[in-house]
Amino acid sequence: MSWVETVYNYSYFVGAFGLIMIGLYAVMVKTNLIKILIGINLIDVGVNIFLVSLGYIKGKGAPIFSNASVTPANSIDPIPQALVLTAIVIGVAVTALSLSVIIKLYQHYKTLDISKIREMRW
Amino acid sequence: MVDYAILLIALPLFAAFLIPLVAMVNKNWPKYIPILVTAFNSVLSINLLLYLNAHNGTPFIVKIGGFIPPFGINLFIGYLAIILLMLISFVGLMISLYTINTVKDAESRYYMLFILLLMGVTGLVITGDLFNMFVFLEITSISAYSLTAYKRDGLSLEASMKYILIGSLASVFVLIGIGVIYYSTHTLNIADISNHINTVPKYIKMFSLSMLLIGLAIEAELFPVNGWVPDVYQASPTPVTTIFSSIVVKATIYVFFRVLFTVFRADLTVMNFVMGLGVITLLIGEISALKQVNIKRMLAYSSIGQVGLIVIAISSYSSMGVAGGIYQMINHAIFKGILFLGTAYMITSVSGTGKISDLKGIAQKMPISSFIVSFSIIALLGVPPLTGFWAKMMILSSVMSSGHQIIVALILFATVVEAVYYLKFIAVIYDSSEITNSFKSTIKFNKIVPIVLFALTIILFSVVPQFLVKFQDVLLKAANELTNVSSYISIVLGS
Amino acid sequence: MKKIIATLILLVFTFYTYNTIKGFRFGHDFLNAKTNNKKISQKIEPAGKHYLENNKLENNASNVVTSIVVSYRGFDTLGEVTVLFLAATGLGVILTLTKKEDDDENENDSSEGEPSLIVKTASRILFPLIFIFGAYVFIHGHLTPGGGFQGGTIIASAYLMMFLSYSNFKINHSIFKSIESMSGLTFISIGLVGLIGFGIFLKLNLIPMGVFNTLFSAGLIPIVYIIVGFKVGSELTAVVDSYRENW
Repeated sequence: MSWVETVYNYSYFVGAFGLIMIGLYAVMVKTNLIKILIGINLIDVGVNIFLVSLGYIKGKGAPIFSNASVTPANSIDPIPQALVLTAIVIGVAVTALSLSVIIKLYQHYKTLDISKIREMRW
Repeated sequence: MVDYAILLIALPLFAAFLIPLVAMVNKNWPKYIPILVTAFNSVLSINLLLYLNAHNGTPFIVKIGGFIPPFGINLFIGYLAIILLMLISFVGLMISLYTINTVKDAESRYYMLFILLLMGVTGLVITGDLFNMFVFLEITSISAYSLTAYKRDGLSLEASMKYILIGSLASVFVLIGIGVIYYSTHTLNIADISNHINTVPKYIKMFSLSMLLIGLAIEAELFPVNGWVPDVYQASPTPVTTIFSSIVVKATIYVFFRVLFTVFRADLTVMNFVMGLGVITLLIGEISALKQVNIKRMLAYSSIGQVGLIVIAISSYSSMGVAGGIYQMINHAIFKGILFLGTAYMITSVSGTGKISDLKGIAQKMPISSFIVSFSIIALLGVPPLTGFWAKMMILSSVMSSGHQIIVALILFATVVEAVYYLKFIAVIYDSSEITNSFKSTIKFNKIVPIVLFALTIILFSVVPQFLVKFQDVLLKAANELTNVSSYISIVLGS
Repeated sequence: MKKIIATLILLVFTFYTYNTIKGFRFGHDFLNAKTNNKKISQKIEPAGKHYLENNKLENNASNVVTSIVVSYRGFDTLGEVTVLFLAATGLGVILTLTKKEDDDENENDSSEGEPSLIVKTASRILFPLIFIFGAYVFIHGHLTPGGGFQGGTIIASAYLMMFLSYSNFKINHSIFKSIESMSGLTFISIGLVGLIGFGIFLKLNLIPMGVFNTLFSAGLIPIVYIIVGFKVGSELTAVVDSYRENW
């Protein structure tokens, strides 16, 4: 299997890890705290897409038995979806907390540039 | 049955949700709630210990929601979990005694975060489900982030920001690792994963192992990724620093090795790699501690060094080494409890900025605390009859018998380095010259009592021989719980 | 320099990930795959398959994801609720204001940034509708996609809209705090009822299970999700409010 074929077959994984890479790059290179936080959020989204795509099964649908045509035999794996729900909530909590720290840091130092904030040795 | 073991988590949670309502009735009541909660948890964990003793020491599981294990979440409680639980609730009780009237304008929210931090650590120690472990890891770290920033000055905000950035990367890596492990075994229960792990192709196993290793190493303060530790320890309020050093790190080391031993059934190559990380962590921690001028920073580096020692001990994989590592965890929690609380108590009496030189000659004014601090330093260094000696002995003999003589030499070298800066510190506090800083005597019983109780624990561990013999037996059983995978599987999944 | 090192690290990471991921079989039907592996000492079906097949019997909720989130892995959800509670609490700790600063900044802002009458009227009309939609989402969490977290977020977004369109819109903090605490306490109390009565924490089939795929089914699952909805709604509103007060 050539790599083009691999990328085509695994487009969800490629997308997920692409987002993770972009986020990691932002975290490593950017010096603005808001941009770093955006990078972390991108990583979070990438991981969530990765988890959801792990549970996908070709030709099957959502595991909600609201009409008779959906049966256990033609539903996808429900566990990753439940995990992603938890992961999203945790991501929201961390983002909210870090935004509040950023607000206070800005009020304290009047800058968002981590290379200018005094004690931080990165 | 012992289904009430879930109260270890449910009750602190209940108390934390109750605090806002209590604070509306009376602003002074919330500060007593942590004491009640930790005291209850201490009693409960002693009760579980008695239960375990009465049932041949076989670990037991608690099913949550009534679903049988791989399908529902279960708790796994054996001697190891109970040792750590007793440590958590005892140190938690001491620190909540110390905290009263200590933290500047502590409001009800501080106590909520404090209880939830302890709750998260408790959950980490007893849970038997990989994803649940991740959730508790997040509870622990999010409360740690907010407690670090509690003072709201520049330093603590920066430390908290650093901690948040590194901690969220850690959680991302852990989550990727869990996802891959779930995909290849279709289960999240630790015992069930361990049951299936040998069917997973080696490269997938290595990928998820390396992801989890990076994530958990950040939380467990291992070498390449522990740059946040000194800043966070220095910036957070002292009771919180004590919790980080005494308890949170211990729980994350436990998780680290539970994942390595039980989830991945790691082989000797991986364990040797981890041991190498431990050695580097030990050396870097101790050597960096030498040149510190701030007390909390010095203790933070010393704490990193001790983490390295514990990791070396447990990764030796022999039952004696693992037992020694667990013993060192207990010792270190108590020693660092005394050192952080004792030095903070001294610093509040002189108007200083937390430098070592501020404490020059403090022993003339505060003889009891100075004596206890020096006593615990001597015990930490491993002077023979005291408890630190026995732990180091166990670690050294097990590393020796596994054939790593050079590591034994490095541990001894690190101990010498440790002795240098700690003895220098003792020399400063027993200096005979007059105190330069203004000294105001503040005898507070809620600060002295925890320190004295910690010191009594050291004496109990050191000089009561009958207790020691029984204790070593318990330690070996606890070590066996950590390393024996097949018994873990058969207890959780049934045979 | 920094960029080159970062790129190198990412290249190594990409290579490593690519080599692992290409061993995965995307979309493979692993739930019904037959394995005859001798290395496993005990044969247990995949958890996902167990949930799909036994959900109707054990939880009677037509949305399997909900029954996993609330019932099978209810302990995780308790942890999730705690995480949000922690974030709201920590935010309150960090963003506590000194009173003087607050007055200065607020007065400058409020005179300039007042939205137009159209925005105000429209959001006053939309507010109850969004609120009801949020309530609908969390009440029907066991039947349709959605649930407590989603519904709570929708309710918080209704409040966010009000904050944006009325610069002096104030919420009563003590009421929100009490809702937050009371719903958390109720969640744990439901768990404790099971512990006291049956020795099982978070047992959710205490009440009649009802008829499958109707509103009154699935035991305590909808009730737990309603509690979670209230909790998440009040917490996120408090979070948004603390941000607003700071600027």
